[in-house]
Amino acid sequence: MAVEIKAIENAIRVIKIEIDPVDQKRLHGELNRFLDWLESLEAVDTAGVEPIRFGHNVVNSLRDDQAAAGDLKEVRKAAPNFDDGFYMVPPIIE
Amino acid sequence: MNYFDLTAVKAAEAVNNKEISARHLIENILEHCIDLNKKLNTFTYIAGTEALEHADSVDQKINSGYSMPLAGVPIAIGDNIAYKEMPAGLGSGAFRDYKPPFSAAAVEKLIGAGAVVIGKTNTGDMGIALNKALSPAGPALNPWNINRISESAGAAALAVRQCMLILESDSEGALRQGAATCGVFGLRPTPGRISRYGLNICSGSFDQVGLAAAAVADVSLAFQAVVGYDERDILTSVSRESRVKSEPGKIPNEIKLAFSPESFDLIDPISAEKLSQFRERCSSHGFILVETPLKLLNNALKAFYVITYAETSSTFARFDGIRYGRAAEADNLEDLYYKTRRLTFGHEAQRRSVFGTYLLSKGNFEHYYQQALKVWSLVKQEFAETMSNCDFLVLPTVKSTALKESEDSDFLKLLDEDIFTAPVTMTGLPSLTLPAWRENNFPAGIQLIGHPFSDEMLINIADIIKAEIEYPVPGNSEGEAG
Amino acid sequence: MSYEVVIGLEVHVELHTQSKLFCACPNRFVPDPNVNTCSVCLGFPGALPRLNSEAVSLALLASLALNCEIASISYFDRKNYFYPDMPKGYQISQYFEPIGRNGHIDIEDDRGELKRICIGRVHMEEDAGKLVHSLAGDASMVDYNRAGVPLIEIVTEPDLRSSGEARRYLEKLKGILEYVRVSDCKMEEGSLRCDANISLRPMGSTILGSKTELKNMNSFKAVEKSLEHEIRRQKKILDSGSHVITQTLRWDDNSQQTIAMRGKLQAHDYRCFTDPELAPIELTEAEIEKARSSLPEMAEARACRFVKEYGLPDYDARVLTASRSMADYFENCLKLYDNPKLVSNWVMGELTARLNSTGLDIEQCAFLPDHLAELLNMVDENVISGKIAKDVLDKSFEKGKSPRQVVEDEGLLQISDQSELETVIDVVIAGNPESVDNYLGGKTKAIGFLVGQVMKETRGKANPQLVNELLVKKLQEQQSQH
Repeated sequence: MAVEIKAIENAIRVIKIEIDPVDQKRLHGELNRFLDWLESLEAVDTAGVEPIRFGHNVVNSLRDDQAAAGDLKEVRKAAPNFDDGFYMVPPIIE
Repeated sequence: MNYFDLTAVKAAEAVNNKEISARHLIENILEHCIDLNKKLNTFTYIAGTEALEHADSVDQKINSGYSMPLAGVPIAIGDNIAYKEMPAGLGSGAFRDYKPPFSAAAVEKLIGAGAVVIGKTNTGDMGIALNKALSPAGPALNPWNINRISESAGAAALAVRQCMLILESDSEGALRQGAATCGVFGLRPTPGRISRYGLNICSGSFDQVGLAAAAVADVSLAFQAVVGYDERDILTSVSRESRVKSEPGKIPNEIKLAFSPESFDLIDPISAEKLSQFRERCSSHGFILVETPLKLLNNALKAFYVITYAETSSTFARFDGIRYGRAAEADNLEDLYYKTRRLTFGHEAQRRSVFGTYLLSKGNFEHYYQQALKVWSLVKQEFAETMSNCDFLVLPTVKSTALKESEDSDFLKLLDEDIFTAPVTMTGLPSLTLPAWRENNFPAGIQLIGHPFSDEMLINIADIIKAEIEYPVPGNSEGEAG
Repeated sequence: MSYEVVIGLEVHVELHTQSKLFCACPNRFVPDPNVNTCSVCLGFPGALPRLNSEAVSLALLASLALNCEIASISYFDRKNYFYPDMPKGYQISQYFEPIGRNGHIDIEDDRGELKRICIGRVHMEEDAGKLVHSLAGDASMVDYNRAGVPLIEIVTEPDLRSSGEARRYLEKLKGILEYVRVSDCKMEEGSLRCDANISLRPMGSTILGSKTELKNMNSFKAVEKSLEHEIRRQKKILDSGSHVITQTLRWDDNSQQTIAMRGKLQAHDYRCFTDPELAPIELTEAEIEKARSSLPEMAEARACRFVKEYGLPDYDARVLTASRSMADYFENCLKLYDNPKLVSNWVMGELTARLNSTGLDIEQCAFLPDHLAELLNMVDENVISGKIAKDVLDKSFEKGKSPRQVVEDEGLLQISDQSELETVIDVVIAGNPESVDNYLGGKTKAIGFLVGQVMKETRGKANPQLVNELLVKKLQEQQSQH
């Protein structure tokens, strides 16, 4: 069953990207085709198969608890709006 | 001396022996690079004086008695990999002027070995493969066939000797595919052999830093320079353990090569014919051939995309215009998010964000995402069984080398192009693409896939197999790009 | 109608580590914004998280101290939502497999009977930054100092039945966490934070009513008060036949009421999935047992032992063991001065009074357990009087000098020299004929006044017992002369 355009609208609200209605429509069509494409994946018999939780062959890769100063100066240079020690954002309207 | 016939190995030798200066080499390469870039658009940034100054410092070291494995070798880095001396565009309009606060671990290591960074190679939207995602800089073209977009700009650059080594990311297989269609060697290493620190990761399960060169000896040299533990990437902890395979046997008749019957069905007929011939050749070399079924390739590809979309949608949430990148003019916070993220992402990054969000949402999580994780487990099993019967697995890298107009292609068809590379990514096995044959004058490569941590063996075995094929540089003989 | 109150608490506790959860930035409060930040905790493209081993150890200890089952393998997951204080657009937490499950602690219910509160889960997660709104309301400012600080979240089952139980649970929990030294648990400073879920249901019903979530309670008192307020509010709503709306409320300390919160916390689909950038934590049975055996003797057990071993009253034992540092202080002092009750009196009395007035913690104070032992020994040896001892404590406490040093430096040695004291006594007798007459007239109590006068003359340094003896002797001599 095809999903409705609402699925795209909901996802956009969650992911917060401005997308034109034309592109939303395109994405809607593509999503339905993508989901059709996934049909054979859904049909794979995975009864009793454990999902992979972490794909890499590594466990317990831990760091010693040692504090060090970070790359503070360089990092700040990248900020588009930095003022008086703070990262600035426009007001939050709720 | 013709610099463009030099391999990295030979160039470093010449610089170390003071036959040529690093500065002279870099000067010539830069000129050549700039010239070809007008046509191929392989670079988004080409160094100027900074590379020359760097070359001078290499020469100084040589003059004061040092010798360096990559002395003066011109390298290029994907634009989604950080090098603090150059902008990192990330394949995004919002990062055109972004100077990363640090350099990638692999870049540091190459520079430490004497290499000189001459520029940043074009990457697709947010670092996604170029043939699937247009970058703000436009497509990079395949020098063998300028009607075709190169999956990897770096591979294209290598084919015309705009540089001698590249570092680029490989996830669904862009680097390997680019190497295959441009006629160069491309390595996706075992995860943990090369640090990912500094790579803008979209999908943590799959993205790796890979390297490519026009000669297999160059891949070997570069790999030795970048391999190893880096405390900043947890995956490299495996490089501290002695899991690395010992020196490989060199005699073909001690080596089992596996071929999968499915590969022949999934590629176009001409390629299938060539693959058969390639198999024959391996046999006549004395390799022991075995056949192995790989029934899950098709669903592995689908599982790969479900997982990679899901992870990417989450990873991209950090691009909010607050700490880095360009911030859109906005009246309020929501506005900032919507507008900044619009100017940060192209179509493909948008699609991955939206689809990934859909796939992870309530009701879809179990159905698609969890199912994909289970299929992933089956895929790992299938490949593990295959590898238990052989030393190396041979798979095609691309479905076809025939001309295609990627730009207008349907997105699903483009995903299908990854049917041999994305499943291999899921296994965590190292994979090296090497030139294998030619079709209508276009190069074609195959993938050699080894056991985990057998990266060095892969490179050595590729050296034996490649002896059969010699490639001219496009442009020098074909007159297509140069 | 009478209702049953159902409360569950979610407590966030900052782990007491040197560095943040996934990067080396210092984990300590600094007044300047964005000082404890780096490319990792700011979520820069190319930076990778690395898990702090000490945070894992502390989370494990806390889970064990709260009687949890420990997960042999646990993962980190991404909880996806946008807010400017969250650099990556997701919070790294343990959503699917917390490190600890099914724990409990015992408290007293409102009737004073023992009651078990079940702890559903203990999981690790990273803290968010802080958002400051500009006074003009035209912008918000983000401080990421706290972003990435390690937390554990401790979630109870809905087992609490009153605001009093909630407070006692928190007190007990705080005590335990302090005991195992995982956190300093300072609610005013935000190192312990509490959210409450609360609902009412008709007495006897087993179905949970619709709940509200309470936030922003910054003291135990505020928790108790806001719960009481919310119980009254919900009761009123239910009594009027309406329904309680499920929502998040903020406790406002000024107006002493709960206020509905806006924005950030609407119902969310967090699309949780395992973080592909963080390796799982695997704990072997041996590692878990090792951690368990490293747990300190907890407050209750220690108090019991203090009663049994040292013969202390229940009250003393409970007060002394309320904090691990104080109990340690007490026992360290006992090693050098074996009079438990006397040490207890001094620790609970004089020392605690000075700690309270200076606002110092016992482990910060310069007056060490061996100092107290030394002080008490000097009193026993008649080197100083009990009264002088308190002055010595003051000086020693203030300056960190040993009591013996203080006594020497300040000339506070007790006067036990007979002839020196006799001179003073003669003066006092001569100067107070009335008291002398009273004494001689049979009012033996008058001796107290005369002793006091001698002490005054010697500024407390006289050995009071000796003064008493000498006075009696002198007065008797006078009587026989008459």
